[in-house]
Formats: sequence, C-alpha cells, structure tokens
Amino acid sequence: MSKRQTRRAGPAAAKLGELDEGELVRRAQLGDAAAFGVLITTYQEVIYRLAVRTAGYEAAEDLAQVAFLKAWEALPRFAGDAAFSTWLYRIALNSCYDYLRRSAKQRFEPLDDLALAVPDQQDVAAQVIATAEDAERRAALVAALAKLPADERALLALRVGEGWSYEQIATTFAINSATVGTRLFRIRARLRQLVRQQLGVEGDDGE
Amino acid sequence: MASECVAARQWLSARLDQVPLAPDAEGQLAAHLATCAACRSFAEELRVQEQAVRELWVVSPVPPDFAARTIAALPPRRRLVPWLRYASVAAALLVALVSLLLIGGGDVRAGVDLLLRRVGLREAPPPGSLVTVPLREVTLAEAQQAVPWAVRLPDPVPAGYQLTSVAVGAGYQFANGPTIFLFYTRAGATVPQLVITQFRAADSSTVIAPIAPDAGQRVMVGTREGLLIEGLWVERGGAQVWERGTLLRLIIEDETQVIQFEADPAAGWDASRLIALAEQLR
Repeated sequence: MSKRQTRRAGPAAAKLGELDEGELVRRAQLGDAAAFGVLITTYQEVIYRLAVRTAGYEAAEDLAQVAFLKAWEALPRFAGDAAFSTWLYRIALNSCYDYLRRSAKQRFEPLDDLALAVPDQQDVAAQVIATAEDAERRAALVAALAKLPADERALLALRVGEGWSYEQIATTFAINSATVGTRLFRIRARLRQLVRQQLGVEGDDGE
Repeated sequence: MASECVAARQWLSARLDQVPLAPDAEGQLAAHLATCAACRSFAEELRVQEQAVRELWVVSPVPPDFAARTIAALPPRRRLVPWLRYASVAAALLVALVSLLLIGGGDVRAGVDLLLRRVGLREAPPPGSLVTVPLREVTLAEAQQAVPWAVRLPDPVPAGYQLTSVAVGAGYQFANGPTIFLFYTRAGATVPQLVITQFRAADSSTVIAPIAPDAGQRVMVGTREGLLIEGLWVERGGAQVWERGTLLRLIIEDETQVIQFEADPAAGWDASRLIALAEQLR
C-alpha cells in the first residue's frame, strides 16, 4: 500500500489546451502539473524576455525557471485578487531583483534631477548621434542600461520591449497609472545621461 | 524657460508611448520646439535612443525545451499551507484519508479508545509513510453512477459555499468500492475549505486511525455518535508529525457507509459548525 504513490494523471489532460486560464490556474492550484505546464507554455516567452532585459542573457533562463518554480510553490496561496499574469510577472521581477542584489551586479548611480536640467548646448545631441560609431553607441547603451536601477530597467522593458500600456505597467508595479508616464520620462532622461557619460560627452545640458 | 523645457520633455516622452496629449499641450509643445533648439535635439536624441533600445531588446526565443525542463523540475506539492494539502485533488486529501484508514482486521479493538462500528481512533505513533492515490475528477452524476449507494450531500449547502469539484478515487484496501470526494469552496476562494468524503466499508472490517494524544474525541451528531479529530499527520523532513489547528475532521457512519467531513478552521469551521453540517446530510 505504501508503494502506491502516484501523481495525478488526469484524463482531462488532452483537453487542457482548451481550458481558460482561470480553470488552468485552479487545476494547477490543486497540484495538476500538466495544467501548470500549459501556463508555462503561455508565459515562458514574456517571462524570459523580461528576465533577459532586466538581468541579462546569462542568467535569464535560470531566472525564468526559478520564477515558474516559485509560482508553482506559491500557487496554493494565490488568492486571485490580482490576475494570474500580474502575479506571475511580480514573482519574475522579484526573482530578477533578488538575483541582481545577490550578485551585486546592480549598480545604482542616481542622477538626481537630470530631468529638470535646463538645456544650453543644443549641438551636443547631433554630435553624439553623428560622430559616435554605431558599435560604440551600442556598447554605451548596453552599459548605460546596466547602470539603471533594476526596477527602472524592468519598467522600461515592459513599455519599450513589450509595448505594454501604462495601465498594464501600473497594475504590475502596483503604482498609479498616472505615475507611469512620469517614471518613464525620468528613466529615459537618466538613460540618456548615462549614455552620454559612457560616450564621454562633455557639457551636457544638465551640467 | 526651465519649466517649459521640463514640460516639453515630459510630453516628448509621453508621445513616444503614443499617449495622446491634450490639444493645448500639443500646441504648446510645437510652439516650444519651434523656439528651443535644445529641446529639439532632446527630442531627436530620445527618438534615436528609444529606437536603439528597442533594437537592442529584441530577444531570441526561449530555448525550445524550456517548458519541458521546467515542468520536469516542478517539485511535488508537499509543504503547502497545511490546509491546502487538501486542495490537491491529486494527493493531499488522500494523504489524510489513507492515514486514517490504517489498520484493518485482527484484534484492532484492543486498546482502541474511540470506536464507532467501522472506524476507531487510537493514540499511537504515525504509520510508516503516507500514501497517495490518484483521483479522477467527475461530475456528480458520474460519481453517483460509480457507486451502488446514494452519494450524500449537505442540504442546504453551507452559506457562501459551492460544490466546486467532485472526484472518485479507488484503491483503499479497506473500502468496498470507490470513495467519493466532494470539494466545497467559499465564494471568492480558490481552494476548497470543506471536503466531504464517503465510501462503503468492507464487510466486517474495522479501521483504526493513529492520532496524537488528545487529538480525538467522541461527539454526538444528532442521535448518533461521531469522531472529531483536530489536526493531521504531516511529513516534515522525512518524519511525520501531528499538526494541530490546521484541520478539523468529523467521521460519522451510516450503516456500512463511512462519511468524513474535513474543514479548514481558518475559514471559520469549528466543531459545532461541522457537527451541524453533518446533521444536515441528506
């Protein structure tokens, strides 16, 4: 009798693909790994992309897997007060943040009030665009993105990488949707400043 | 000047996001850009930067075997929030049930403290390992067809609850035929807080469940007796320990039929409420 340890092999497995997400979530909460597999297949690409953009290619696959495993373990406590997707994105983001914190790859270089700077050297932009080599600009952009705080990188990734609306981003980050535009503005201005620093552009309009 | 530039740049950022600007903002932005070369160059830089980020962030697809590997890595659900083991139709509830139906035949009455006709409780160490068996989710009608006796339902259904799942499980040495599982879920909840299991006892068999000291008591359910158990055995680091406060069980018998009610104390279930529910079984 004690040998009879089995997991559920649901006869409904063949039809899992036809179930709506709520039903899949419910089944997965009941321990149905096949139902959770359908959810993994549905969300693996977006979770993976989010991990790549937030934490880099090197760790992204592991982080995406960790996110799904954490979700699987936490699923019985998922109360359904947020959408499953929102809940999953938050788990994935937190996995990325944890990883970056642990590996100390996350460097904060706050550039306060850059966005409020008054411009005075209008020719610099053209110079940056025109003179820097493509590869150099690309490397500068990569480095600048790496210097953004992880949550800013993630927010930008959802907007620029995924094309999410302010409302979708607001829900995921649990912030006011009116704040999203302001944050995006500040992130873009900060990124621009970091790129300029990477390229050694002097006399930015913020200084 | 500064505030105009700041406003203009915020609008430029919003425009990248296809957020429509108010008509007057549109006009003000155009007017400002016409006179401010710095903001014009900011606009161009932002546009180029946005495009560069977009290109940089084109991500190749996830490796093709990612989903399969992730599914394979899913651990079985063991240490859940204690009550939620129930919700696992696959395994959890059966863990509780099988651990109840442990000893059959022989001189089981000796040393048994609490005994109905078919089921008894004994303060004893836990069984070896917990056993799980597969469940098959069915409709209520299918469940009824699977057994020759009448499936018993609480009438009325507890306020705020719904019958969300019915399952059939087989494989108890002790039971005569399949066991029916009724999962009741509170509105708004995602896992059942009340589970009713029923099966027919094999002829002339008695089962004894090992429980922790003082975890079981005899109670009156209407004019009949029932057994009330607080807690259950759970696996912790390979050993089985009795976990209190996470589960309330009530066992009653009706001829050869054994009915077990399992409810979540955290959802407001106590002994009197569970007994009242058992009295309403039809």
